[in-house]
Amino acid sequence: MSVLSIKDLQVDFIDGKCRHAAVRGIELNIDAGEIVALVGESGSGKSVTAAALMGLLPRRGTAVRGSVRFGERELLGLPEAALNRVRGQGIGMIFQNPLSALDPSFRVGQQLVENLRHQHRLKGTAARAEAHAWLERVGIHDPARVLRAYPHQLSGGMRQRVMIALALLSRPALLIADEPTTALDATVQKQILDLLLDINRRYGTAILIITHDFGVVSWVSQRVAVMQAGQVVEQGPTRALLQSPQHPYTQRLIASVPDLGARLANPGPGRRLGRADVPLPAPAPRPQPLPLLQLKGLSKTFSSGTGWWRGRHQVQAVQQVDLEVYAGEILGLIGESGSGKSTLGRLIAQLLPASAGTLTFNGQRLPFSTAAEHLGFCQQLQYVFQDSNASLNPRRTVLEQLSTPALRLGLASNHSQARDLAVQALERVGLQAEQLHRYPHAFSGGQRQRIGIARALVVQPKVIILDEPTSALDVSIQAQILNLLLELREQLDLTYLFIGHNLPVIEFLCDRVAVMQRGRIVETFAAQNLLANAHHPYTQTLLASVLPVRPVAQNDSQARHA
Amino acid sequence: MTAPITTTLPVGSTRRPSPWRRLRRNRLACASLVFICLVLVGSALAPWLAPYDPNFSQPRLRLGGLGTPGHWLGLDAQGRDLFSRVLWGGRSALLACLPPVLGAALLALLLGLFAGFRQGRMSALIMRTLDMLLAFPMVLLAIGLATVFGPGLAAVSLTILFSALPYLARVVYAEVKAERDKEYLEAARALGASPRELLVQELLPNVLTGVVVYATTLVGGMLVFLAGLSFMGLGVQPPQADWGRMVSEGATVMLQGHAHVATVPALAIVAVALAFNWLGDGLRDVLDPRD
Repeated sequence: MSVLSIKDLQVDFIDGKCRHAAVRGIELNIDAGEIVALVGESGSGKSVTAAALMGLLPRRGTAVRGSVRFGERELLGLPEAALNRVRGQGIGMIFQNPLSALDPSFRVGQQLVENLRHQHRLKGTAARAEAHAWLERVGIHDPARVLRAYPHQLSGGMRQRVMIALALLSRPALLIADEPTTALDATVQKQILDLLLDINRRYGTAILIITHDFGVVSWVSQRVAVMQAGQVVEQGPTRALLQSPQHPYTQRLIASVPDLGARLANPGPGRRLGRADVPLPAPAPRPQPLPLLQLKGLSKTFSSGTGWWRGRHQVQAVQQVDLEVYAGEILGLIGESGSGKSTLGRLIAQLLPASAGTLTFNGQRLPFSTAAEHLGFCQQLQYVFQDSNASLNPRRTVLEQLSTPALRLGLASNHSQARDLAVQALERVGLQAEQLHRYPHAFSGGQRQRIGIARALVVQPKVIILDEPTSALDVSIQAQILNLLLELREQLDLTYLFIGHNLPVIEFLCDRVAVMQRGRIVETFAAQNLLANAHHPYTQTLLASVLPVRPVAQNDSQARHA
Repeated sequence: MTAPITTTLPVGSTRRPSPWRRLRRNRLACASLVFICLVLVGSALAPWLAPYDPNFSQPRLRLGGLGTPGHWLGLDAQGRDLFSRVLWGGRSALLACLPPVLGAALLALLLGLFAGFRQGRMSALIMRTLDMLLAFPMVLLAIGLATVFGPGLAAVSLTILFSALPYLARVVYAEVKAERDKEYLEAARALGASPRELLVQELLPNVLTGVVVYATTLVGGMLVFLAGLSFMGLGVQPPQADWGRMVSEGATVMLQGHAHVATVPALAIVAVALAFNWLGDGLRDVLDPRD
């Protein structure tokens, strides 16, 4: 008996006289107690589908056709009041960003109690007790504190737990989860996914989980539908589909996802992700690896809360870090969010002054005292930022953003030379010279990140610090960027410091890994085989929270909820 | 050695239409711009366009209504041609409004960029001073300035500059504060940009739009404020023509059934102020590269 059955769902966005098909002919069935994943890259129409199911698309400007049956009831075309009852009692929904989905000006307790009063007609004390019980059920250990807290006072994982409790209050038959763990750290992601599995088992709630992450698909779902450009190109049992995808798009997508342990097959510089490896000879071992960057006891303390009434509050973001980066290597820096990885990167790039410790680059002590020396340093060490949208100036053309530094750092003496360098850098990252006169908003996320890399390359640096450059990108784009980074290193003899939290990516790309926890480096080891080389318990926890994609490593997870 | 890497581009999204094209698509803003240009040209060429000297009086025809032969907008209480006086009055009104607002915008950019970028004692001092200016009654300032310089163009121009400045500087300051922690500024610093380059090359283009739009809108408001000052006798002195003063003179004969004497210059004020408001609104859409 199916909880939800979607037949030939079509969604058009109407803009004036233009009709733009966002979702085309989706067929999907969710049985009672089943977990189904809807997976696809950004723009594939997966979130539009979810919004259409719940009747959350704006009535003006969209046209929804087809049939969505919830049990016996047709949802499409239902009046708003009836739809509200279905949303309140039949189908629950949780979102990617629980901070914006929870009302910021009410305490968590008020939001839960309000809901219980309105939908279950519970009185004050009974509602409070029920809210308390629900928070316990979603794994919150101190419900009394959380009930009194405002959403912004809770961590991301806690907020998502509250969101789940809110969605479950009325014991819905179906829970729609739209990217529920995308904004969370890997360790927290796993806890939340396990909570969803637990809810599914305990209450028999069917779950439709929308995600771009094949690790999530493989960990929680029993069936999966793959979306591309508004259509479901393939669907089937998760295990079979991941093992032997039939559709070329699915094959390409799954091949783009790195998995732990896969590096052993080809550890050389010719390794590529999502396409055939390139035959490259193993590099001759360097006679004596020179540390290009040397950090000794580097620390950074931030002071915040500079009020007149309260004293200053000190945060030690980086503590006593000793680290060497050798010429020609790719050093990975990993750790959870808030562990100080980005701060360390900024300290090295001289974007922040260090509080204590020494930093040498190429044998010279930093920071430089003269402006000319500082410019020389900028020319040799470059930075690529995580958010390609925020790191490009929205009001300057790509040409301006690429040629100004070339002129400033003395690589070009006039504008036409600078332009040539800009074109060269742009072509190196796979973009064309005609695109020079555009503004950043005219590019996609992946293209913008290429521009970010081109901007670093234009000054011909020796070292590039890459601060999570692929974390906001789709897997296929991520694979392209990682391959590009490997190619550029071969062509230009670059050294990378790659900051990241995705361990399979780190294992695929890096030569060595440094693990950071609460501002300290806890261990450093070779990256070829993370599982075998890691020793520190913190690193083990990080590794344990990686969700394997390939079915080989997946047997136990499937067995858990079979 | 390696395969070429290529990416596909979204089809059909070539370069965005030029700002000029986009302005032409916004009919209201476009019409406002044309109207403002006409008013500017009309006022500039007033000595040649006006059919009469603005102070030439024909007592025989005094208070002639609309459509009086040879005086299509009628005449005022002293028998002066209203159309000629409206043309001449636009001169002093625009002269007392446009340059001060432009000056205020430039000054606001300077102060706002500095204060927003360099947060410290100096910028706190600047912003608190501007806040005080914001709280200061501008009419009082106008009276003070008129006492020092004598009532006239200089006094009202300065008054308008100081009334517009705190609002504009706040806009710049707020935008700088919103932009200053974005990664593109860090990226520029990693590429060796000096503080001056950061301000001029990176920040300025991002805060300019807001100021241009707000200043354009503010011209309309200041025009009305100026009319108020003239109405109170603080602005341009008689017999020189000025819209605000014409309204005040017309008000005295309004009750005797000669409404047109006050209404004609009042309509001129409303029309020009509205046009500047609409133009400002249109510029907001036109100048944003993110469509």
